[in-house]
Parts: sequence; structure tokens; C-alpha cells
Amino acid sequence: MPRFDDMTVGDRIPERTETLDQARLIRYAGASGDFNPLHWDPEFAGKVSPTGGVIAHGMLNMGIVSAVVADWAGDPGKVLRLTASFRAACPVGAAVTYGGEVIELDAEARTATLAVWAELDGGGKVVDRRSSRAIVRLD
Amino acid sequence: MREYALATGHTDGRYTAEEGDVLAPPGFAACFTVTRGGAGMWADTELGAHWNLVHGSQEYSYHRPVRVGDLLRCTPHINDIVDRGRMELLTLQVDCVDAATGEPVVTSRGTLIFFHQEP
Repeated sequence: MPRFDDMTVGDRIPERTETLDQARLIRYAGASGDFNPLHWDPEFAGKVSPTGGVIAHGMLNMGIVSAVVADWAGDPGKVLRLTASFRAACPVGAAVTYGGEVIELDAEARTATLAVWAELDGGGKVVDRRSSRAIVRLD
Repeated sequence: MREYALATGHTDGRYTAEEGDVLAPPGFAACFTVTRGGAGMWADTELGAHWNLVHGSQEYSYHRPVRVGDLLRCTPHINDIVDRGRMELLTLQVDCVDAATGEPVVTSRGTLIFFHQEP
């Protein structure tokens, strides 16, 4: 479990890369109750999607960011705040890399603020690190 | 909670345990704020919400972890609607409190971007 006294601004948490295939999007739709056809119906998505096809739920990407941060923190109760700014659309089938970097340490509150992200291979910012944050309390 | 943890890759065994102190991953709040909180928005026919939308941003503040057996009272509010020409930005806040004690549990704030042309 990470300790506050061992943290330095610029430290990174373990990255994770996942391929978001259609089955994964359907699984997330079922788990979350978000059945927007943009995430499973190619015909509907063809009419409204910014990519012209099915795209992943923003909240699935935020959910995987939650996993990367909470698994690193070691306890969901240590995650005090999580924000995501959704920028690039995430096409079904994309490989997405999730990560975070410590950008601020508060010695009094013993919290770390992390910039967090979900990025496509080509650099597309699905969850944009410039404005997406996690605040984590550390021992 | 288990299905959510598996769909999003949360590996801590406390999320998927069969018994004991079963916890929700932080992101699980999506299931009772974005989806169910948004249901009120769809039910309000005067509001004119439609499916030609994208999720612009989402914020969660956690006051305590969510556990199996919690009963939460979640109150959605429209904080703001801004017209940006070809799109409108709607900010939906959902305040989730412990139904028994009124103690705050999660505060959610999401911005939805509605494009003017309906699908």
C-alpha cells in the first residue's frame, strides 16, 4: 500500500492497457444499466456517433480509471474524489491505456492529487489528463 | 456491485466477496447517479432530453465508502443549462445520503452535452 512519506510529485501509479471489445461494452451496459444504443447498435451509432460507429461508454473508461486508482490506493475509502473530463471518443475495439501521476501532495491532509487518464494508442485523450483528477488519502 | 467490479476490472476481493464487509468500488456510484439519477431527466417530458448526447465530464466526491446493505437516498438537481449554439450543456448534480441517518455518502456532478439535431 502506498505511503504518503514515500510519495514524490511526478510518481506514477501502475498503468494498465485494456482492449474494449463489444462484449466488454455490453457487459458494462448490463452492470451499469446504461443501455444507450450508441454503445451497442452500429446502425444507430452510424447516425449520431462522432466516429461513425459504436463507441465505449465514458463511464466505462472512468470506471477503469477508478479500478487503477483504487487498486493502487488499496482501499476504496481512500479515494476521496474522482473527476473525468471526456474528450476523444473511444471506438469499440480500441486498446486504451489507463494511468495516473502524482501532481500535488498535501502534507497536512496527507492526500495526493493525481492527474489521471485513459488514452488511445494514437494519443487520443478519452479521459483527458489535463483536467481529470483523483484525490487519494494516504497513510 | 460484483458485476460492476468485474466489468471495470476492479481486482480487490472485497468487491466480489460473497459475505462479510462487501464494499463498492468508487466508480460504482455511476450505477445509481448517472443511470438512475438521469432517469428523472428522461421522465420530464418538458425538459426535451434526447439521445443525441455525449457525456462531457463527471465528478464524484466520496464522503464514505458504499457497502452492501446500504440504503441511499439520491436527489437529482439540474444545476445549470447553458446554450452554446449547436449544443446545450446540462449539469446534473445528485446528492446521495444514507437514508437512515441523512449522512452524506456521495456527491455526483455530471455535464451532458445535447446536440440540437435529434437522431
